[in-house]
Amino acid sequence: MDGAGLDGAAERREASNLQPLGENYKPMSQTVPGSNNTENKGRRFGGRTGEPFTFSFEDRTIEAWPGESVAAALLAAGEVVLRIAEDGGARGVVCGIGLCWECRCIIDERPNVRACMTQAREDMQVQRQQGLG
Amino acid sequence: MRAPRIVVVGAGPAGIMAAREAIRRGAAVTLIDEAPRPGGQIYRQGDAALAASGIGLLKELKRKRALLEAFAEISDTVDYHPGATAYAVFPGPQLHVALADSSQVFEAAALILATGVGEKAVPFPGWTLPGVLYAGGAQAIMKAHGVRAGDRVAVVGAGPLIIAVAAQLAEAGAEIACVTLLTPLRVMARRPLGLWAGRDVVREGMAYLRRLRRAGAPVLEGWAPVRAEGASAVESLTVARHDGTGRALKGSERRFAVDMVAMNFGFTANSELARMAGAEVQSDLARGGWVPLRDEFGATAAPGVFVAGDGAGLRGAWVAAAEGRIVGAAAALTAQGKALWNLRRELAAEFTLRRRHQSFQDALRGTLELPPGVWSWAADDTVVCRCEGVTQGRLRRTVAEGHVTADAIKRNTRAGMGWCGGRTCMASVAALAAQGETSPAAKTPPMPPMRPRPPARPVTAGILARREP
Repeated sequence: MDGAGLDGAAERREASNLQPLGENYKPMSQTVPGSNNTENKGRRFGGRTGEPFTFSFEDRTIEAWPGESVAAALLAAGEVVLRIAEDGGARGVVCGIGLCWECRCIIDERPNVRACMTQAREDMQVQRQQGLG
Repeated sequence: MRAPRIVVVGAGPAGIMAAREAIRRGAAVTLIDEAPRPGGQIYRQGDAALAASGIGLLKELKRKRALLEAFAEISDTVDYHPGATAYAVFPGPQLHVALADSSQVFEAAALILATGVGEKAVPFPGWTLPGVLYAGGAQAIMKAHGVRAGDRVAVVGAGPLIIAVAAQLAEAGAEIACVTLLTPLRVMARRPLGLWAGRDVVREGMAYLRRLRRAGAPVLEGWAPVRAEGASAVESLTVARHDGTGRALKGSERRFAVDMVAMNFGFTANSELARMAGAEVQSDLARGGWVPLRDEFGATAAPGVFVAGDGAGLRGAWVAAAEGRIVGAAAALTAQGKALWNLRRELAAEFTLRRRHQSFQDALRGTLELPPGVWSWAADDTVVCRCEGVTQGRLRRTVAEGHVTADAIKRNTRAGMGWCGGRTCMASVAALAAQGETSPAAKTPPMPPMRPRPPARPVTAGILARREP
């Protein structure tokens, strides 16, 4: 051992430049400019039963349908940045099945909750997690 | 005599068939699964409120129905724990499980691990940008939630899943900007017998390719991702033809405007519980990294511990279901002190299917083998261990300093010690370690994997403290 592990810790701390997303950040719209996908009905497909409801993500109201995960509802709304990592980078859903933990966010004030493994519920409050939350 | 307790981990094709077979042969079965509903990753079910999305082919939906019927047959007798996470195995075998808000220890006469595979990551510049997903993950979100994760998509990687996911994304209304495969699918034609053995699967693949052609999606074979770019999320992907070893050929780059990249470079067997239990492993990189060694009935070197399905190396859902029956029967008979010699005759169809598909899997292998150059895609500032923020440059320096085993790199950099338990970066770390090792003798046997430590999944202290009797 040569203490490289400690250097690593210092490097990580330096990289922990936890800036919130800038004012110019905008969630992606549901239709990409220049897309030739003319019959875009949003990102949802297939049948749904029940009534849609809403929850909040940061300052935005997100529509969700019964049975959808928080991650699915956010992706359907074009919200892909779910977390700012300790290294300062923006992160989103990666594995979709609960293995990678990249989509962890703050849900109803609880940090480190995986958006892909959490069912969306009415009036839930979801926030981007910054670093350890 | 009380029926012996068999504990099965995983409710995919292998786990469900193993549980049913063990119950049919007189065992009491506990079935532990992380998902809220049975079916596993391949036959993932959405919530009842979401009607069948209709993506995927009729044949696949038929197989899914057959598996769920098998589950329905045992649903009254099996001790089923959905939403439960097995996080450790100790001798006994003894399985430690995190439930919703507490933990429980299961003592088993035999333990069947049907833990399947996870997607293998190959880092490239920009791969951590939001909007870059695993292809199987994008598929799971479509299957389980009826949502496509992007509107204009690049699907990149190796092997047949790329074609299936690209076709399903097109079906779901996405525009497919490009599809790239590291190795042309025609390498499979070198093994015509294998193709014939897997002709049903090949036919499904052809249907997906036709779907892509109808959608006008360019399928680029022998191409690789170069970099993803974007301000706070992915906005473009550059791909290039590669030289056969994985290195991009200068001047061949093409850039596509996208809002999503789906990537898959094959699979890694979820073998950490088997390894924790003491199973011996062998390296089989195309089929899932370090896979447990087993006999033909699925028994490992660890007493009472069996492995079934893709968790023992990727062979697909058909083999997994057939093998689930073999291993479920073997575990139940072994736990009751009975001999196994009639099994080969009783389950002759399952043994035959497994053997037949072996030759098909050998044909597929050529499309999944990753040339060594892929591990140099990441630039020095590319984050490789996403959980701990460890860059490729830091890993390279650590290897250059002489730390040339996966465990030594892990101890020195924290790569592999984060939330995902090393699942995402382990293949990268092992590949870099192998490149640092110069003595040819040291390469055989292959580099041992990172040692799996409990908990295999993050568990809160509160859950550990609240232990069910």
